[in-house]
Amino acid sequence: MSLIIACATDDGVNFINRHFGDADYYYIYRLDENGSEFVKKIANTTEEEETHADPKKAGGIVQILMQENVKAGVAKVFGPNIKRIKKHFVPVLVHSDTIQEGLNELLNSYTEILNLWNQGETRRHLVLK
Amino acid sequence: MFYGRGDGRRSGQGRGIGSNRNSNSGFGPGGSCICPNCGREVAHQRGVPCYELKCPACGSPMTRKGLNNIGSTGTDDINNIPVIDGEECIGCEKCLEVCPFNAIRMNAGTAEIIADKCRNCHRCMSVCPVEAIK
Ligand code: SF4
Ligand code: SF4
Ligand SMILES: [Zn+2]
Repeated sequence: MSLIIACATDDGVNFINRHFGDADYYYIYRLDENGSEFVKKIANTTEEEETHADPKKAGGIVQILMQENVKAGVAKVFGPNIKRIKKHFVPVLVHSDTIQEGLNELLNSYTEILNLWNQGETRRHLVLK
Repeated sequence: MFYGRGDGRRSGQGRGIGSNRNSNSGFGPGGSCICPNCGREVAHQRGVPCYELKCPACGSPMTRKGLNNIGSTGTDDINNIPVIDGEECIGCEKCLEVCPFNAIRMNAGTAEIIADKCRNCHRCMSVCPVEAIK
């Protein structure tokens, strides 16, 4: 089974230092035990976040990413919206600056992420350190 | 007369329960009023309800020291202040925004409590979206 993941980024190279939902783009990758493969980039077309934990904002991002079968959202920081996000996919916190390093972190925790995905909407997030 | 701040509520943490009752901070004829917003303390004036006083520093209504946990523990109860689990924290900074005593800082994307500033008001615990503060 492969795992579709979305990385929060502005430039396609580094993770943003803002909340997952605030990225300009989500770079979509397909992961399996053997490695990762770039799928496509998706622009964040949802409006500016007016307040933290704006319910409309979480809905918009989640919907866009669900259309791509995303099973994990990857970022360095999440906002209070994580409560809603985690119902639809696994929030994964990485500490790498670059997506490339982040993908390696994810590959090391591949089984754990898959287990969290399988837990459904009561799942918790994963912090990779 | 209890100036009720709505947050920080957890069962068993209310007025008069737990360590507050036996500590003499804030009780008796003297005691002090404390600002729940910035932590400023002033001597309690007999016959004047604390909540009628405005904080000299920031203008918020004061509360009696020793009530509602705010300022009730000081450094006496330093071992009981909340702890942030770095393995759970998502770095959202929500706790930092609500802490009235600037007792939380970020360190490499993770929140941490500065023990000697924390007054154990538990506001941070009530807002953390991932229950990382215990
Ligand atoms: S760190 Fe938490 S418990 Fe301590 S003073 Fe700040 S909000 Fe209150
Ligand atoms: S509110 Fe919770 S998750 Fe957010 S920064 Fe504070 S401890 Fe971390
Ligand atoms: Zn004040």
